[in-house]
Amino acid sequence: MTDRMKTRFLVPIFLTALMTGCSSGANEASTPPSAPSSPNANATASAAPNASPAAPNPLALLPQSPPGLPELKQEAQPQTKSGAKTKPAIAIQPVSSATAPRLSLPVSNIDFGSVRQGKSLVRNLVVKNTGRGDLNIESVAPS
Amino acid sequence: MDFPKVLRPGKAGVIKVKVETGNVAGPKSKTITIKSNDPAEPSKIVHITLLVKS
Repeated sequence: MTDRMKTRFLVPIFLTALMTGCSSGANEASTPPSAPSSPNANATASAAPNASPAAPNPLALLPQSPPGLPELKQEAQPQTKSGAKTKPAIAIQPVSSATAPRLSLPVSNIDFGSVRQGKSLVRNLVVKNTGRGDLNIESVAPS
Repeated sequence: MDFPKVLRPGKAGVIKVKVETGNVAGPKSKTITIKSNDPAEPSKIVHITLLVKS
């Protein structure tokens, strides 16, 4: 009983906050009328896998969107994958990321500090290959 | 400069950087260019700073 009393008190406060305050809350209040239309979208989405039964899950994930748009996206993705064989610019990227070496340096700056004139110092610079292929260091040259 | 020629994936190597100070005092800055077969960055630059005291 006290819970109902609380809800009766809370609801008018919430409504007045919507009336006086933000317009985004008014948009949220307008979403429940659109919610009954989602079963209709589910019905169209469940009918859509008959057209493309290969991947029904993306359609089920997007039930509220129009069924025509996800079908276009699903058609576009296989086109890019199959088109990658003909376009070399797209085909190079997955090959290089799968087997490419990666030279990574823990530091990009070595500070030798202060050195007396005429002296020489040696510091070690660690180089790591974080890629998936053999890293060939061709040259290390001062400039 | 002493550096490893080939690094297997996941392995690390050491490049020995030797600095010989001349007879001119003051702050010095140099760069080292490392060229490799990394397709993303074929040449990497390491900055070297030191202060030569007289």
